Amino acid sequence: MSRWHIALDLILTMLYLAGWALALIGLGWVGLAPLWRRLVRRDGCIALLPLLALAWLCGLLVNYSLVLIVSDLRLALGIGTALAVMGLAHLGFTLHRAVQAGNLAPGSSLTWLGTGLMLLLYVVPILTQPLQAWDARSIWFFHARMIYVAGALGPETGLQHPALVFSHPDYPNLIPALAAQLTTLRGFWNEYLPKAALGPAFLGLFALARQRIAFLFLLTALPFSLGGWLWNGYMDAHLALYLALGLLFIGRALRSEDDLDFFLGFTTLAFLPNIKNEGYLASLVSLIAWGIAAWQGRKFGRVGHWLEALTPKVTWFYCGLIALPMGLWNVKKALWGLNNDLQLGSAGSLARLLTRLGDGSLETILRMAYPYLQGGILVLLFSVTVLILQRRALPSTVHVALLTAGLYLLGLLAIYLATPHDLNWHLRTSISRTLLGVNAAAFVAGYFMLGEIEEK
Amino acid sequence: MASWLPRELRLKPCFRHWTPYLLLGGLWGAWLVVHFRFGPKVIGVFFVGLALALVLLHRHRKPLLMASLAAVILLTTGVVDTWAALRDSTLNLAMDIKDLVIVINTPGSGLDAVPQEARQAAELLTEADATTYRLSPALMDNALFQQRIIEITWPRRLENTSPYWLYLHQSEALPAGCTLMAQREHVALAHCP
Repeated sequence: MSRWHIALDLILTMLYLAGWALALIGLGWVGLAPLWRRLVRRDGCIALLPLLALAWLCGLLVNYSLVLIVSDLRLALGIGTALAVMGLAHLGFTLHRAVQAGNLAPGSSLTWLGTGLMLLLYVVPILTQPLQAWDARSIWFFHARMIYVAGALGPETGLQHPALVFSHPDYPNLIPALAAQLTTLRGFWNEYLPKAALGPAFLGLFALARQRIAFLFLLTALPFSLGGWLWNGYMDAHLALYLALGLLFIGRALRSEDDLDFFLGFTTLAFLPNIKNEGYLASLVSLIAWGIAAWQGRKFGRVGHWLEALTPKVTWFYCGLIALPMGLWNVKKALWGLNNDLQLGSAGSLARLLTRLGDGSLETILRMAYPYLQGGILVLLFSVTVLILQRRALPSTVHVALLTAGLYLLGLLAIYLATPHDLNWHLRTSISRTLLGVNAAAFVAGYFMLGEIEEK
Repeated sequence: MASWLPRELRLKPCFRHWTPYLLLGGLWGAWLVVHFRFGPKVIGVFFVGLALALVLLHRHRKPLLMASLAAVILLTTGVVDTWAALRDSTLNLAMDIKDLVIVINTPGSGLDAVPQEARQAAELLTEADATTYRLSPALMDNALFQQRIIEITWPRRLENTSPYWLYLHQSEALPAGCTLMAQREHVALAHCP
């Protein structure tokens, strides 16, 4: 191949991936358009980066919903493209009007540069390393290939085949479906291109950018502590990153009371169960923590604000839209008879949990879990130390992240105690990645505490 | 003073001064107990030392907090390893961008990551145009071989009734009544009616 040919191929590949990202933003805007007036900040400006992050998240959910509704990949791609074009046109028109009115806040060039650099830094290992990690091959991208081969996410995909028990066919398929669409449109399968579906959520992370040390801490601790899990094809780090983003947006929503932050938090939480089954737990405990924090703030009228934000019908329409893929996948799972191997909630799992509570298993779990938790614990301890020395209360933004980290950890401990598998095997093969979410939530709490300390 | 404490915990003035220090002592003491049980003791002593410095050197509290957090991140989270891996992959790309562009745009590329046995099984099934297959006990009992074969040969399916029998010919015999169809270095395909 000549140099020109290679350069052209590279440019076309980049354009292909950029086109996908743009289409997802357009598709997401279709869901957001009815409530776009509520996405204007309290100071009257439209913050571009958070808006695009929200549209992108919503686009991923709408795209997955389309695949689940019509099953056929090509049909879903056709409908999605048409909707994305409409969404992009409306988004362009909206932004144009905002520019004319002078109330568009595009974000600093440094923020955009940072977003671009981080994306580039992570896209390189994602695209240059073939699928190799065990779960990436046996679960996530195997499902993607099955969907690609069948051209659909339906009964014909073959997830019900009895030989596929090892592949956890009940796991959600948002990323596999996206990977299958990427390869369907490209026309072939290989072990590199589908991984582009892992594009991490740095757009969302940089939507929180501030020229402060707290943000620098967040930027260093959060994606980099997730290590190779962000690019090897496992979903755990992505779940942790999105959980952290959800908590960051919720924390900001508690402070700013802006609907944009409220919707970003809500959308990110709705996104979690579509990444991995632990996302149900993460989403549930975050909502509980959010509810408790809002209740604590009732004296300051915050409950009233949240209820007000939830009242309009358009909010309920949007909540339904983002919860749709989770519901649809559960219906499909029930129809196809796909069950989870952990049998959580069964009488057997409860009996195992109670037995293991008394037989020293908890000590085993804690012993294996502690090395992966100590970073988060120490960040919290140091930040709390300074707050106590300054005789200051924990800010309400910290409560949500801290409570989420604690409840999520308890939930994971309960899952390990109830596992039908050999406990040591289960811990050995998963604990280093399942606890990433707990650490990420602890880092978010640390970020809010640092912000508080810095502001003084 | 100490308005952050619940009303019932607000102590007499002579104790108020010491309340934060008692609270901190309790928190760090509890952590140290847990850490000594589950983690390396040296790290525990180091971080408690840093916490003590935070309490004592109150004039330099903010920079010391930043230094402590940097130490936590560097020593406990694997950030350095991540950075090294990202740097290496970027450098590799810079030196070998041509290869990446080729592999990313080539159908079926990247299967080198799969064991030879699985790739050979896929080749044999493709040549025989088999839609189903069975695996020998040696292939079935090896989770890596079993899962990789099922995965890369899809949509060909593992079925108990299939006449196509894949086995490791160096360690397993051809089953009685079966006919050898083809073989590669490690794996052979037999027809077992």
